[in-house]
Amino acid sequence: MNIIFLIAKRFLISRNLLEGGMINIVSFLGLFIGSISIVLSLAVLNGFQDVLGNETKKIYGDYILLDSNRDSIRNINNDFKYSPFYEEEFFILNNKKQSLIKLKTIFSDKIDNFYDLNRSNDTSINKNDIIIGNSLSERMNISIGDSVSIYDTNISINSLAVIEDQQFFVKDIYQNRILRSDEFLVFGAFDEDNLPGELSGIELLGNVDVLQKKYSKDKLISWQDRNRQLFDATEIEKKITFFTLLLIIIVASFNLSSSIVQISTKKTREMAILNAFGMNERNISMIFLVYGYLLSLTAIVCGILSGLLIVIIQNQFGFIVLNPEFYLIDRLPMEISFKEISILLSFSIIIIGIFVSLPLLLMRKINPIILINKNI
Amino acid sequence: MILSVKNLKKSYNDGKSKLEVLKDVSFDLKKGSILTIKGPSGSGKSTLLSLLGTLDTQDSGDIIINHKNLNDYDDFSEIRNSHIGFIFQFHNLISELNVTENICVPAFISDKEIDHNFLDTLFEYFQLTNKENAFPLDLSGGEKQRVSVMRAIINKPSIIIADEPTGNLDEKNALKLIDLFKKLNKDFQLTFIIATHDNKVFDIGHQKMELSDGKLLNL
Repeated sequence: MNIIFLIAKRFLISRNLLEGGMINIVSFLGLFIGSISIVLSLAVLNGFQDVLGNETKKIYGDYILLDSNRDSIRNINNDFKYSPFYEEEFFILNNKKQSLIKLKTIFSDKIDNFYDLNRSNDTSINKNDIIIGNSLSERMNISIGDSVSIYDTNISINSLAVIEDQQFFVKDIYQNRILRSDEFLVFGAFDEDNLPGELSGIELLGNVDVLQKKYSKDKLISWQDRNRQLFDATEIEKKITFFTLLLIIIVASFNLSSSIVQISTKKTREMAILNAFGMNERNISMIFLVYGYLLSLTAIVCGILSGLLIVIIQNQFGFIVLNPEFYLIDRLPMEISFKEISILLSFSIIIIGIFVSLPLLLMRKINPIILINKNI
Repeated sequence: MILSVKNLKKSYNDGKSKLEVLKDVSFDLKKGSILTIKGPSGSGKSTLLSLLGTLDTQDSGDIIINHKNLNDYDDFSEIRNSHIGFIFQFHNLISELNVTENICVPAFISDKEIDHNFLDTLFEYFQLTNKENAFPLDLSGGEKQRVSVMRAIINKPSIIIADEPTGNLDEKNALKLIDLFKKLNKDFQLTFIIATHDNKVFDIGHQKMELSDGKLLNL
């Protein structure tokens, strides 16, 4: 057995358990809490990011294909789901209340085949039917079956000096509060005999690789690109959380340094004995390096595994519940990212390496004559 | 010769005055012999053993162990590990390691394959069978010192250096240790250099020397 590892292990867990005492325990707990906090916080942020993605895809799809027209529709094969749409801003008017909306006109069959709108009824829509969001219906007192006026934002007036509008019949109400869509996004159906020449785009759902092979990257816009600010904000939030919680590991690493100073001071006689029997100073330092890594990596791996266990239990049993009125979901979402766990481990190894090496640089040169001949 | 010492000098400087501890010490030692050294406290016995054990360096002179002149080396770790075994006044066992691990420390350091037959022979020889997995805290004073002797010889060194080996033992255990040294010397042809105050230990030497006023005198 490698003597460096053997001695480091025995110094850490000897018969006089945890001889390092409180400092060892504090270092262990600090690193354990730090790593478990990072795993759980990132899992929650990943979970919410996942919810954000899923809910967004329900009304916007994975990608938009730009520069589309009626011919583009014919070129799409059935490898993935698609929905051509035309989008324009209008005013909606009901009982003297008006609001700016975005009317997204689609093929009526796509309402159920492509989008997942969580509708009140599952009735189909025709030309002059619309589906509005729950928030818009509450704000403007619109119910299913009501007739509302929609007119252009560039107001045009007819010969009788009356604003030209069009009546629409509210066929259904959907619920999807992601990006506050249900406050302004209204779905309508194409008049299939009178399709617009140019489309706003074609929304696509499917395998990213297949889509990227078929269409050039500059014509495809992902849901993340369409909501870049929001997506970037969640990414920044994750990074800030990661680095803030990493401070716990850094603080715990200070304790680790103290722990190594303490153990190296306590074990000078043993070091002198090893030196007398031919162990060089580099290998003696290695004992404390291994000691530090054994203590800290055990704590960090225990923290990561405990974090993963909590994530699995939460995903299985949902013991932390949320109010779906506010959070769209009824349980705290958690998503494990092994890439982030690898980054956490790598950062920890670097930080620990620095804090373990510092006391070794300051360690006094071993003088076996003094330590052994004086019979310490 | 397993050891040759020529014109060895060592002094300590406390900043004000220079204290000459060893003045031109020279001697030779044959393989398989026992050299015992006595002298009053502060006469330089431990200093001489430290120099021979490469734990300290001389001001001038040569120490040649097994045809290797120490002046030709900067790092003595390998020489200490392969050619020298130490027995201290106190057992100096590592309390976290069990008996077998303590004995094998020099072998572990050199990354040598443990000779288990030799180890078993030693356990029987030293009457420590059934103590292989015990920890130093579970052993008596005599047993600890025997373990430290086993540790000193596990790598089959050229020389075993013992500084007051019976200094911390009662008379019964001291006598046992003296017998053990004689037996080891006879059975394994081991070479010993022993510094002692104890006349019983001093008497086992094939070569007996006294260190006085920094000079080594043959007795």
